[in-house]
Amino acid sequence: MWIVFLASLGFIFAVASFIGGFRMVRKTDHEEEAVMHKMNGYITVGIYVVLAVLFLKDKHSLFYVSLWALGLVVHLFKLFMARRGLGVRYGGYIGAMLIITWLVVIFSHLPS
Amino acid sequence: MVLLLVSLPVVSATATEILVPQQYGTIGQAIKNARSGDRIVVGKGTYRENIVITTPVVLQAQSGPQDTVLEPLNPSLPVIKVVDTEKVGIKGFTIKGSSVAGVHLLRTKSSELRDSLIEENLHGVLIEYSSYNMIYENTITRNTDGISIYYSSNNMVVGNSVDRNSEKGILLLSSHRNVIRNNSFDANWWNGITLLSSHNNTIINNSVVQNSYAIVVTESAGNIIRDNYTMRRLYFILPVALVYLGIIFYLVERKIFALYYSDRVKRIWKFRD
Repeated sequence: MWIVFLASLGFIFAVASFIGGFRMVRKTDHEEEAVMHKMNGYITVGIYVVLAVLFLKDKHSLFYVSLWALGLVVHLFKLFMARRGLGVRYGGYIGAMLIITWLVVIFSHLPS
Repeated sequence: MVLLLVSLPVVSATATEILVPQQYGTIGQAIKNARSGDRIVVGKGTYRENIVITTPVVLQAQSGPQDTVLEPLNPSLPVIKVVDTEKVGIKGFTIKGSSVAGVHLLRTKSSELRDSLIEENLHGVLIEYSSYNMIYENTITRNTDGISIYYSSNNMVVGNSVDRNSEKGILLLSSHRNVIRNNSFDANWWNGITLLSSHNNTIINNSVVQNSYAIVVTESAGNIIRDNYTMRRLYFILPVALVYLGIIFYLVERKIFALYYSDRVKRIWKFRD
């Protein structure tokens, strides 16, 4: 159950990061917005990696490894785009991809 | 109470106890050689057979479902099929792996299935054209459908855990006057309890949580449905709640950062002056 809690926490940080990023794109940001956005983003990735390790510890299937790796690629792609200064143009799309990734993470950890 | 007494398998005064595998190598052989009312006691182990019971016998695991596993030799047949008989007892097995049913009661009366673990079948328990049977305190999990009752009446389903099946927990189709009481139908993918063209059933005091739909009643009348605990699946509720929490978290975080940064900015300006 605590994995569901951790996944939920990750989703909350992802949402907060998404809103922060969106405000930065709209140029309504201040300095603190950028710091918050970065901090939320790195915490989100950290939680994602922890969840991936916990999940793959028990399930060694290549299918699951590929899925989690794909999610990580989405996160790293976002980071790459932001560093290249393309966040303003494509930030909304990439942010939405991240939110969808986290929805999948949430669903995969709910009892079913 | 009357129903309960009627449904209990009766062992006659001349009944004998048959041991498997000591006396017979397979359960099928033991059943073939058993007389009405005999008790077949099955020792620890995994038995791969398609068992067909046509005489009133009691089939009982010696040491419980964790040690006594029944799997089908032919997965396209039920693991245990009870047909055209009455007063059969099945107790204490793990019954798994059929693409038809774990236990299939067909035209059977006054029989009892209890204390068993029934998993990974198409239907955990399939009851057709049968009456006055009792399904009591089993764990029926990870099947496609947990319990399916078709064209049957006056059966009792009491104290079972029918959880995590990939479609429905229990389905009653054209089945009447059955009693479904004190069970859990939790975390099934589709409906917890489904009544289709089924009348005058009693559904009381069941837990029906985390299914897509809890209790679905279609073209049915005169059913008593009360004191069941139901809740929609978390799937729809949780993400929405988390989005709200994310927004609130962001607003609170922004306030905290704004306080910190305004103070810091003031200090920087002071330093420059």
